Amino acid sequence: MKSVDVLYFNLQVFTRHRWRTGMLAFCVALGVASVVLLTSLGESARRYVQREFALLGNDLLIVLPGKKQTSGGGVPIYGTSPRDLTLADAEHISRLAAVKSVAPIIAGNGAVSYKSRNRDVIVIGSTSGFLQARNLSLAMGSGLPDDSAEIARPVAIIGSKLQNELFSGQNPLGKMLTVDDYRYQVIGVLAERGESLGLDMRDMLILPVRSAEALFNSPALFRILIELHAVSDRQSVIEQIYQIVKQRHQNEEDITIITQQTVMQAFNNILVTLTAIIGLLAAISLVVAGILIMNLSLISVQQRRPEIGLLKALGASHKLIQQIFVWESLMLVIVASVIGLLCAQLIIFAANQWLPILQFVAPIWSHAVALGVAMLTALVFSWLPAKQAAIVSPVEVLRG
Amino acid sequence: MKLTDGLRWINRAVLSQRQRNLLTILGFAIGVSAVTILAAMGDSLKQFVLNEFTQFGSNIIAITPGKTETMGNTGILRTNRGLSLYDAEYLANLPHIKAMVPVVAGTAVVKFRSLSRATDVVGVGHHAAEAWNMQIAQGRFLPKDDLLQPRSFAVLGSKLKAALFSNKNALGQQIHIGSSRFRVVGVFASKGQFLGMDLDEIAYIPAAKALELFNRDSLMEIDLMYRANVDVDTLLTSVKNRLINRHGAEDFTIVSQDQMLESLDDILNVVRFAGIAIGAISLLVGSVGIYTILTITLSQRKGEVGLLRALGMQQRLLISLFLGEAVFMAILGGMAGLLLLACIQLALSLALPQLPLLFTFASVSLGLGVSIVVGLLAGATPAYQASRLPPIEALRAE
Amino acid sequence: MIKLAGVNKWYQSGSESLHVLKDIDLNIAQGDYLSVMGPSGSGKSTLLNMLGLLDVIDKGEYWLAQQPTHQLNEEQRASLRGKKIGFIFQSFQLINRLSAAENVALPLVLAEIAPAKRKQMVEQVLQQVGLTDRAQHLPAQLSGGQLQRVAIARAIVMQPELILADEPTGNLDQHSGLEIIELLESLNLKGLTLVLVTHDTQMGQRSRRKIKMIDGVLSEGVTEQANQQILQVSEQ
Repeated sequence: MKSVDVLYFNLQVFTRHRWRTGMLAFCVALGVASVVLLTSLGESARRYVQREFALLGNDLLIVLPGKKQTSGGGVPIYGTSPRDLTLADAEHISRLAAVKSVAPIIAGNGAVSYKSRNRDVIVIGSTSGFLQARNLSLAMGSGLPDDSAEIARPVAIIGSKLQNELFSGQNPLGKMLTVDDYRYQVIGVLAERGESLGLDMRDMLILPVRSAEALFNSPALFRILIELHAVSDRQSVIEQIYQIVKQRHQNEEDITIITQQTVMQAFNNILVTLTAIIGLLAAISLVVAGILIMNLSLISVQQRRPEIGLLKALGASHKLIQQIFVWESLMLVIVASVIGLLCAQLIIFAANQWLPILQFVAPIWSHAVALGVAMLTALVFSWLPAKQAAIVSPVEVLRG
Repeated sequence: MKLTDGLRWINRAVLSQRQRNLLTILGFAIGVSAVTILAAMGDSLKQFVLNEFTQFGSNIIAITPGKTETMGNTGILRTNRGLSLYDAEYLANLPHIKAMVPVVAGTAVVKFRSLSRATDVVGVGHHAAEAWNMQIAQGRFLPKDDLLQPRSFAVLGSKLKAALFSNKNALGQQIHIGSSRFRVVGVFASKGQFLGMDLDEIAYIPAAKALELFNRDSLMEIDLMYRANVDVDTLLTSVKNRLINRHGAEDFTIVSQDQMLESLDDILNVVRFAGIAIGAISLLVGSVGIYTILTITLSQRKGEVGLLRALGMQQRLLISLFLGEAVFMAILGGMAGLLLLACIQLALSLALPQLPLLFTFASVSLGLGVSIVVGLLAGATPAYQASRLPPIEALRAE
Repeated sequence: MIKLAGVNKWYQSGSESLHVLKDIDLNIAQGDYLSVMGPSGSGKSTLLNMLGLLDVIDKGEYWLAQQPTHQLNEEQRASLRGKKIGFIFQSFQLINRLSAAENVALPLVLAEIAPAKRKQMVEQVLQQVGLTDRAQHLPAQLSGGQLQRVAIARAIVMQPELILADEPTGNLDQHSGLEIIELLESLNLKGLTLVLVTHDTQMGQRSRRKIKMIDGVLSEGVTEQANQQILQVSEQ
């Protein structure tokens, strides 16, 4: 039988059993749609994280004070160690040829007030390189002065939320803020950026690092962000930095350097695994649908035994009968899957309209995987019914 | 019809169409296990996380420097309005407070003779072991010294002790932390991990010494253990007010363990719900399967229906019988699903013993309950439709 | 055209082995018209199944158009069936969801003949059986006689050499049954070899050759009456 005729033949079967076909199609479509939707959830999350990291630039190294040699590994999250990481250390690192810029960071907590309003915020002390390294832009005013690492200028940049809370709409540039009894002049406002990997940039105060040093009365750096030129051997640069600090710290290697890459990789791996798991869980529904396919096909074969016997009498071969029944399931599954995929796309589209910040995306591979699994299910679960159909003996069914 | 006859009828009906019903039951079973497993995992995850947090004892209030709007500890950051040891002393003496633990932490190199280990070092008070439910394996914990001028004693986590001393005795030995000397007075029993941090690798010293070691003025956190049957909210307000008086402003964050667990609970509930939802998809497909097969089967059994009606069976009884078949199949499916669950549980417990129980009373009830409900729902329409057919039509249809 | 030599067939029934066909010898020439009669259980339907390649002989030889069929496998037999043999059953065996025309087209579809050509061939045979105006009707809308005519159209659409009819009038009333037999006979006169299984002695008497099956043994006789009928028709 020509393929076109097989398709038409099966189409007539579907039309005859509309309700049955519909229920089965519903199950398959549901399974396919959920696989796509769930994997797209995971994938969208992964891309979100990747985007956030990409914004931070690729060649970023992060130096933390402290080192752990414990069996579990681990990063010294406390940022506290007996020997301080200092601006002088940062300056020495910046002399390396491969280093493009260095942003030393002091991080603290302060009570900011303007006239009668006040607020507790996170205070960051850094240099002009900080805005660049973190990919932050200004809404108005200027960035940190170039001599932030040398002179403790009483100037500050504020985040957009801080601006609203303290100045409610007024132009803050030039106004004087008080932070823990110290006074600073506002020279810039950060553009609305929102959260950047944990730090809420809107609710922040940024000072020159020397000013922060004076404010908190401690030269201890919280981190050093290092931007590298495009280098072929990043590992050797990292080694060099370890050496520089070790020499300066009485031969103790008491810092930890992590690369943006490794952190991003870690997140990536977690999210990929998560996506795969939920995709798999959703795919279980396709297995259940497959069982229904098998069940319905077996019933159908049972009911159509005379028809099968006739076809054989008319010259249909064993193989052709099998093909017809396998194709029946396959056709159904393909059409139902396409419907499911379309529904999933619709839902994603609607979700993106409703909550544009989320930006869901259904990657092409998820469609292919869902369709592939559905088709595989059809093949596997129609195998037995098709075999049963093929062995129907014309002699038995044609009598009377 | 007598109940026993009815049950026998249902039993025969379901068992007669073996292949078809087996498949239907199988499909449903998978759906039920999916939901049950995911619900159980959600529960277990919640329990696991809660256990992680409450392993440090309950009835705790934590105070950190700086007022944060969001949850998230900023004790690590520098501050001018921190929590001092004087604050700690003051708070320790407040009414209803059973114990106080000052906390400051960092990383440093711990040395014994030629061996060294860079690890976390936490400065605490003498109540820490009791407050945080940690058992001493050798020696004792830090003694009750003057908070501001304590002796240089240290207590080591089990793994740290093993790394520096292997099997030899550590008690009484002098170690160096940073450039200062400390004497080991105790070793902790193995406590395990907390949120990925290995508690057995930590060295514990008096808080004042830690402040010196890390060049800090401010503590990172003050934990207060309060007596049982005290209303935590009133206590919270009272402590807060007193500290505001002392500092002149609310420049700190105070939170009770209950509050923290509540927020965690909310997040975990969402995860649990998501898991159940995913499982529910498979359950839905399985249920549609039952519904479809039942409808088809009943339309093929029109002759039987006609006969029963011709024999005088009441519509209500007819519905009950067919509904009974549906429920029976659903329950078989549910039990099969739970059996599957038990097998998975067995397999997992051999491979990963620390994973909590999946097969609990709650999950079994969920599984069976869902089965019964689905059986009723899926079977209702076909049963009702079958019963409505006029007997003469039913007989003719064959 | 057909030669059966020493054909034997056994059936398993429970633990017993029934000898259903016993040393059958039969020659059928092109254009022959045979009736096969006998009591139920005599093996006449089995004989028909053998001739139609629907079943395999256990011992002996079956030559169809100079081809030895006793060594063919299932696929080869199916192929041969489709090309050379047309079947007509007592219960018509039409597919209820297909129209008359679509039912007739089935063998053509199986043979992968192009749609345009199919249409032409179907129209031709429907005309031959006199059902052109019922081509689009579903089986449910046709009478018994009409259904059997559709079946006959289907049986001849591939222009087979042999037609096997198993009790073709069994489910029809007297009048329709006669119509069907006359239709089959007219086809036979055009050269189609016709083998008819029946238990209706009147129908059986009309054929030129009469085969009797009793207990698996075949015997043959011819009647004058049938011979004369043929002479009459050919003279007109």
